[in-house]
Amino acid sequence: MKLLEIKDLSVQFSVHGKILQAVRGISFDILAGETVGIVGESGSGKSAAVQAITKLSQAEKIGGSALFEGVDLLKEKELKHIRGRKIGMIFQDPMSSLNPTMRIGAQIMEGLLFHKLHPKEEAKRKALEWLKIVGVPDPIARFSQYPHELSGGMRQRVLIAIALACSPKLLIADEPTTALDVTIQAQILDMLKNLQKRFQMSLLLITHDMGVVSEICKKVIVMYAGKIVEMGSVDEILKSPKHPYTQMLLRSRPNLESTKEIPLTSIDGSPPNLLDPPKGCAFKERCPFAANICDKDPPFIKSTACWRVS
Amino acid sequence: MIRVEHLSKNYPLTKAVDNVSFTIQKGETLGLVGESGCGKTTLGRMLLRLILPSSGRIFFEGEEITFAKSKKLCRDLQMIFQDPYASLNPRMTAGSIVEEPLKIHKINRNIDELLALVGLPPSAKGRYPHEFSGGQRQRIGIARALALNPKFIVCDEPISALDISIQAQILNLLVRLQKELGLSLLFISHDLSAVKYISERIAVMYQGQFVEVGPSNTLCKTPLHPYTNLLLSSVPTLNKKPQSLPLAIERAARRNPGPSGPGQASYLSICSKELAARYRSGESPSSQEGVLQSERTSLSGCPFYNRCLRKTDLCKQKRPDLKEIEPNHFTACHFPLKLSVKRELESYFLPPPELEEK
Repeated sequence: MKLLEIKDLSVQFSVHGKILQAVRGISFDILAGETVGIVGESGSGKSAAVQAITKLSQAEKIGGSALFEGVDLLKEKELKHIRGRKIGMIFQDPMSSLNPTMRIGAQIMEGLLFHKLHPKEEAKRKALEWLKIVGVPDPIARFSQYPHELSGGMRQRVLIAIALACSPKLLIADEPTTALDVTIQAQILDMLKNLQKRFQMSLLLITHDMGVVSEICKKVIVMYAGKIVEMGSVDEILKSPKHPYTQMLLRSRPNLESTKEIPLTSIDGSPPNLLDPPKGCAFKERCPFAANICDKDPPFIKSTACWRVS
Repeated sequence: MIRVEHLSKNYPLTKAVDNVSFTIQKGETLGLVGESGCGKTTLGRMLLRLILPSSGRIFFEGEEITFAKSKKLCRDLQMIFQDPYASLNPRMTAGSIVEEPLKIHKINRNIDELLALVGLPPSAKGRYPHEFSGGQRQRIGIARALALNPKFIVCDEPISALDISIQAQILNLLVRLQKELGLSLLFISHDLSAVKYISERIAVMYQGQFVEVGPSNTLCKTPLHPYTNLLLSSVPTLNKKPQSLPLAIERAARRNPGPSGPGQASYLSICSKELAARYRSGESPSSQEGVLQSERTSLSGCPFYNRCLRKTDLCKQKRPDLKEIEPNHFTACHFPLKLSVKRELESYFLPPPELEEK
């Protein structure tokens, strides 16, 4: 069953009077209970796309449609009965996403009370339960503490508790572990994976790290310069990536077995300027296989946007 | 090349660097890993005397330089910074940024040549930092560090602010430059894969101390300290199979934290059967969550005590010293993970991974 269906989404920002095309027509689905990862470099439009569908975007113009359980999120006037209730969100920086003037417990209860899911006493009990589920030791003491009294990993756990408190059907996690140390990152990823299974929710994970995706996602979407260049199951893409960008991205990452005798595959140059996006394939400038035909938009065939595949 | 003896830096509340000793040979790269706040940047800056140590001594080419002040030293010791957006003066052109050290030291050198060395065109000279991408800015930073022909460079997280596709470019550049110019590097990063790639030896730092130092291959294949093992097992990998048996066990331990988790028991067993028995008798394993800063000064024992799954009373009372367990492979742990013991005990608890696969 399709939970979220995004069609031809485009997002444009206005920068000094010029139009920046952050997202240039992307379409994908998320099924109920599915874990999907969006991978891309900074500026590839992955966050812009997600912020647009939850109406948290400052964009000038948003086009396309985003159907969530049959409701077009982009056309709705008010999202407050969906956002937080049916779609939970976790943001990148746990240091700045919590309200520093509110106690932890109150922040978890806020959503429950706002959506009138539980009376106050019940909400408090729920909030304590959630603190326990996300692995915060001594929930009763933490309940009345302020965010600054908690470490980064603990704050991220609290954010996850807030996002999950209303039992959303879709959890969007925008770089949830980028600001954390690698040992804490592993804990948080393990926990997200377990919670996703336990509550049967869909998970949309945004990250720049293929490693993170391969740890918890089934499906992956690779974005480059505002477009989807490849998508498919994680196993398949890791084993045989089709798009040259994905291929090079996977090979450019040192792993624990590579040594400096063999140089890493590097992608020369840098991503295109989206104030003036190139015609045709956006990767052609950096692509070793670029040909004349790449000046035309590549078709999206076999889940890959590349002329070589078609 | 560089020798450091018992170096410490105390701040009012914490010991940022606590009694660290090491050497770096000519042309060698020492990787320094650890999580944020473990003191790796403080250590790097102390070597360049940007921060003065509280105690200990630093030697460069046999001479003590702990408190020395000379222009000659500035020429030999240079630094590449983490954030290419913040470490370049936005009001200076790339050319004048690279030229500045040459002017100060009154040296004549062709700037085009320097820019070419790091892969930038001569036309870059007249442009300002904001006109460059992150990777190119980092190249300018590297050109500036190379301007005076240094012998030793501290690279403080040189790639962590860059995009993945750019990180490989900069890593390759650093490796190439090091070979061509015979540089010694101290490569500081929290990214274990990058450190492993570029370094001959790795030092793992935890709360201001070195907990393990060894050749990078050996250290990654057979870590001795439980913290190194935890770090290695935490690196997200593309292939889902963990690289080695100890890693498989650490992962299992992390994923089955419940009292009946088979991973936990076998993990504990690596150290001793006695510990495994204690664990099975119901003594709860410790939390792996990080320790708050304030807790760290009060510890007189092992700094990893609060997070270690295998802690004993000895670990609480006595701080382990850095000892050479295998040739050139040092660790500060009372119960280092030894491969022979591991193999023997693993057979009790876990089937070999090959069997598990089928």
